[in-house]
Amino acid sequence: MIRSVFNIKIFYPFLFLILLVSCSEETITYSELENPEGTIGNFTLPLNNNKVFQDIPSLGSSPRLYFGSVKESQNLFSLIEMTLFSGNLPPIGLVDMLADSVQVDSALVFFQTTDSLNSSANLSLFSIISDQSDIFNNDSTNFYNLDQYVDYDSNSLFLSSLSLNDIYPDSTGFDTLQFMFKNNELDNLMTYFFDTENYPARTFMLKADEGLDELFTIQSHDSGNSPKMKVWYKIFENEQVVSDTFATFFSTKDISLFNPPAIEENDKELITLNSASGLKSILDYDLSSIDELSRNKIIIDANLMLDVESSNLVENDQFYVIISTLQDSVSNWNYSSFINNENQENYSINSNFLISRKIEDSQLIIPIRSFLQAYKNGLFQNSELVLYSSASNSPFDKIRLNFNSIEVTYVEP
Amino acid sequence: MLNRKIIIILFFSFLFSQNAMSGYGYGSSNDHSSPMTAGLSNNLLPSFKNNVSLSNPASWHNLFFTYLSTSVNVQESRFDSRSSTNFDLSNFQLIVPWKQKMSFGISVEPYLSRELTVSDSTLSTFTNNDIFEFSRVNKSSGGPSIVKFSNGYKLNESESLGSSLGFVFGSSRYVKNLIIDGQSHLLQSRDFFSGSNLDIYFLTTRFKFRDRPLILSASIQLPLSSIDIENESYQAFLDENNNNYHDSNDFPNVGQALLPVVRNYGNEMKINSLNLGIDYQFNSRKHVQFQFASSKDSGEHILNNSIFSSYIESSENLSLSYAKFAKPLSKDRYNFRSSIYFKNYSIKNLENINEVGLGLGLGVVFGVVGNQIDFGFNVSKKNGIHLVNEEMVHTFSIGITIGDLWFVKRRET
Repeated sequence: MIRSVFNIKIFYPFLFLILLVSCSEETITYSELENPEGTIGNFTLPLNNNKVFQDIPSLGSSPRLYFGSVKESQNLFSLIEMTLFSGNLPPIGLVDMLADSVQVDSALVFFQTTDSLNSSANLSLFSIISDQSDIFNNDSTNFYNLDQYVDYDSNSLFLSSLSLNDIYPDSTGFDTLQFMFKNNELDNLMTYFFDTENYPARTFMLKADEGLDELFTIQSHDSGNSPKMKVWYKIFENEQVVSDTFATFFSTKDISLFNPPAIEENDKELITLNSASGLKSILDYDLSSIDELSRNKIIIDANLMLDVESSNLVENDQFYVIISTLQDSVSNWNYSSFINNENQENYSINSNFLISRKIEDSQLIIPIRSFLQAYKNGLFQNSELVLYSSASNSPFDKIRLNFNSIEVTYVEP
Repeated sequence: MLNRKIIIILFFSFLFSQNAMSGYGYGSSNDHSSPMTAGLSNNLLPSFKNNVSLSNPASWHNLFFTYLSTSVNVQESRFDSRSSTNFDLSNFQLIVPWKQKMSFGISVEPYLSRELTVSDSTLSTFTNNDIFEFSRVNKSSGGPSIVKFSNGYKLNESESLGSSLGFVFGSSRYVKNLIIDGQSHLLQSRDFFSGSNLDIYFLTTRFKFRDRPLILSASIQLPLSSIDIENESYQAFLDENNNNYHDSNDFPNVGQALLPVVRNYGNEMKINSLNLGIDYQFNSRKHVQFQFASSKDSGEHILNNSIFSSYIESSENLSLSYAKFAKPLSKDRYNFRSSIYFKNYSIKNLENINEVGLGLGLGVVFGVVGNQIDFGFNVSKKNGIHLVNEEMVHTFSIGITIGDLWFVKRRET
């Protein structure tokens, strides 16, 4: 009897059941186990150095060409280079349109916009009649180095213009600006644009009247609605029309050239950010206090708080600031510019720390605790932080910020 | 089949054991690893059979069969009007006697238990014009185990020797959690234990008192190699997702954290002990027992990685017991045990602890090979525990010992 009761096959599952149901763990609670002093602390990081520098201007990430004068910036013109051959099969070259067997009936150069505009200003189309090809670089050509390229103004020939009145996107979200060429205007287009042997630039220049005092944009080459040119022509053979068709030429690259806001002396003293002029700033805080933190101190709060000293933002404008670290440390803390390459150091960013924040209530608050903790852990060797305007901002927005010291709060478990 | 069940229980074992003594040093030791020793409060003198103690290899030659023994216990600890109930495996032991001359055994049991959670009350502090509500929770868990290889040898009709070679292995964890405004800041470390010790046992039945047998036994424990500790200390982090695990969602994330600092601490624990016991069988199968035990830890305790920042330097234990054993192959199948003991712990730099305890035990013998199921109950009261002062511990243990003719050559018919 006893043997059956305490049979092993019964007993161990019984123990297992007890184990599952009988464990309870409660915390032993004592009052004031440890003194709170030393577990939470804070200190201030003073600013060591700061500088403003001029990088290559950027008109942002938006795939647009800009026109008009806005926020102290003046549009000079936009350049659009077209393809040498049409996109149709078989491809036909621009210069082929000048052959004796080809009769060009008309041509249409057209651009698309998502903007609405009702202005008395005109938008004019020119052809660059330089004897050089590849006359601009959409990455590096800007207002400040125009003298390194051909004189676009004096090497341009007016082709046509249209009014910027009554422009409204339709149900597709776009309105189309059309330059139609017939008769004499078509002759100019063929002579000064199609003739790529004499004028190899095959580049249009678009220029708005100085009277356009607001921002107007058209879709650029990088958008899905890039500038195009459509040419209707006939091919004769033995005085017989063998083909009556059209060819479409596309843009290959384009650029807007702006006269950005002037860089003032005051800009160089503060934190100044503006994409159109390429102004960026670098801050260097004294991080020796971070170096002295013991291994297990965690930085729980550290914000870069900058007050807006002045800006050209208007109501409802949003301005995002990007902050990052630099690959290399800075040795020259004076103002420098890309224009004078000898003075400009390499300010490549270290994207392991990259954060963006919007200016709100005239203040910029950027959390940098992750940078400081990573710096403490040796993941960053440089203490410099670079600030610049986000590509999503209007490139013409300019802001000046005052700098403050950084309050750091840490804990040690 | 039996082995598989035991493995399942092992898997869930060594969890949740919690008493205030676990806060000293590297945890609390389990003085009474089986219900037999729990009832008698000693480990040298007969507790299993009339002349056998499973915890004294010098007595194992009196066994006729191989025995497999395992036990579990439930412990309730009360302090500061709180209680904690825990369950763990006490031991697992296999003993193989050989021709009533020699014996061999292997056992696994917890060596130290560090299962303890201590928290303090929520406090407020002002830092950098902010108010922080914070509390601290210190938690240790796990603990090393010991595997023992033992043997006993009968010198002559009266004297016998035993030895036990124990290897300490395993790890424990320690987590300091600083909770600030509900967010956990964890500092984790892990201790890996390694060491070995040698227990030598002597037992003699040479003496008699009033023609009744006296059993005298002694044992000493010597550290073969002191217990060394490899401490891995991980960098503190903010547990953003409150899962008590350092992962990519925490701050700093696991990829940005510093590698753990590994330090080796030699000679952290060096335990010498001496046990002296005398058993007088004043009537048939009725015993009165007395044991004195002394233990001293001469380890360096440089790491001192304990919740109470102190450790037990030495302890002395006196126990007085009464035991009545079953008569083999009769209707008297019950073993009865009772005891009272006094223990004193000397704590380094803190108040000494006094303990008084009572033990009760009941064993039921079944089967021709003397299988036995044992129940033990132990109640003890400790005074002088750091911060708690007084603790009452109730321990109920249950064990089963199965005998068989394992490893005995069968006769062929």
